[in-house]
Amino acid sequence: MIEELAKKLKSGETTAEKLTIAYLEKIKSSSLNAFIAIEERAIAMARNADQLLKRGEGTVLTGIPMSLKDNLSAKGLKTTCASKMLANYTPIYDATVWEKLKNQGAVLLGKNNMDEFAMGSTSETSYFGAVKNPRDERRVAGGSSGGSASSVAGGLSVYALGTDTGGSVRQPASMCGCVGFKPTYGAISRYGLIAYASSLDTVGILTSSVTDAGIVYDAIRGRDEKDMTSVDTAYPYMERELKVGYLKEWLTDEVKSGLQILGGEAIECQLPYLKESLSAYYIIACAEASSNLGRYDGIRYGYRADGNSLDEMIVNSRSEGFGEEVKKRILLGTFALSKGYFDEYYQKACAIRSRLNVEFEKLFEKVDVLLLPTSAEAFLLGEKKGVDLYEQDQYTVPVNLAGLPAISVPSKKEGLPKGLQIVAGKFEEAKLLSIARRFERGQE
Amino acid sequence: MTREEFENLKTLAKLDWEGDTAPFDEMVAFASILSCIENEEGNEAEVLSSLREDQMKESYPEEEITKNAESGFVVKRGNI
Repeated sequence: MIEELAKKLKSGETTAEKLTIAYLEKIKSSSLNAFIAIEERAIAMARNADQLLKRGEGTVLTGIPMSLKDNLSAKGLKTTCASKMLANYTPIYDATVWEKLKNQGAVLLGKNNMDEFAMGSTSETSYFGAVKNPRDERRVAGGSSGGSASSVAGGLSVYALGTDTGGSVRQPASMCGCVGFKPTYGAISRYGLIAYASSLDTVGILTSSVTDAGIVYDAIRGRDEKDMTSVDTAYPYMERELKVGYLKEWLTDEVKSGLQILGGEAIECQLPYLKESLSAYYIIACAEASSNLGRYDGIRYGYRADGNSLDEMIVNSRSEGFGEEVKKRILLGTFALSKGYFDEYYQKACAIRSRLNVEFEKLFEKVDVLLLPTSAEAFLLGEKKGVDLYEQDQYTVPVNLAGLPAISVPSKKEGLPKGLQIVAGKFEEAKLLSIARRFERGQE
Repeated sequence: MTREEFENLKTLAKLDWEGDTAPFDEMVAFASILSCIENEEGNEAEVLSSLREDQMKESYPEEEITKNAESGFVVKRGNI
């Protein structure tokens, strides 16, 4: 889609301004609740892009309207993390990913709705109301990048950036029927991303095709001096006889379809600690969240409540500013790190993570990619609560714990959407995208 | 979890929680699956430490590796 639009922009068949106005009108008339804020400077950005294109400058992304999840900073535009705590926070700097896109003449339409502080799997925990699924508005859009997925699948933006800590890009992509790509941990700078769980947080990409995901990835990847975890990645992929792995316990219809379409040699693999990895993920993510969200004390920035003492003001600010799910996760994280429970919970979770890493390394010595389901079909809004929701992440969190790249590609054409998840070894994005494209084309 | 333990936790997290502890108890029970894991090779921390050591040895030459005696974590010399 990006290449087609770029051709039209280059040939003068349309302009970035016309395109942007059309998308803004669609957003305004939409009932998906996919956006928290609209960028008022969008048309000015589009006019600048048109000037670049007239001069024969720019790239394939110049003039293409896109959106950002509301935990990625854009200077001068409210970045709320879908929380009352940051409802009035306006960043004074750009996230590196947005800076890179802006420098290429991308047009920012606005900020996408999400689960509060990216904590959720349905985008229902947003302070600004639940995001709806464009395929059936009675259903959830998935989460936590539900607004980004809903806007791409619903035709409200050409592509969107989200973040994936435990599946938050792949899972909503699967439920809404678009492509969701989470690169290797460290492949994309996280400078300007509001942290949830720093050892897991990854910027991801939501698009309508695998080719588009590759185009956006090329534009934003690479080492950034402002993020010490980021690295340059340039691992070329030489096509050869494909070895495709699958897990017997997760041999769903999507996986079977993937094996059939991709061909090559299908290899049954073993991956221990799958059941434990879900608990390990929640322990590690919540422990890190309890630390990262300690900064919201009502003093430096964010929501401030009244109180008769400093301590009371801090407690009131945090209690009133955070939603229920965020509070629960902070409490669980504090619990897991507290004396007497650290060894039993946090230490064991870290051990599971290390072991899972080793198991994945062994697995990718035998196969090129591993096929997994991404999610269940989108369920009704309000249908699932509590730990039932956590279990929705079972297919995606092992990948985050190991820091691997993975992509969800729509695999069902009829009924509610569902994605096939393709996982590759660390920094093997080129191979992953090539194989994902093969699966996508094989379905046409 | 006892009410007293929960009150201490709220103080540590600087958060108030209205209502009972049921949603939180459910989360702890969910996370407790980890406590069922048996240590296959002795102390869990030793297993974790040895795994990290193996990974570091693959990345750095032997002479560049040292071990922090207190934490058991393996670090690259010069980065302490």
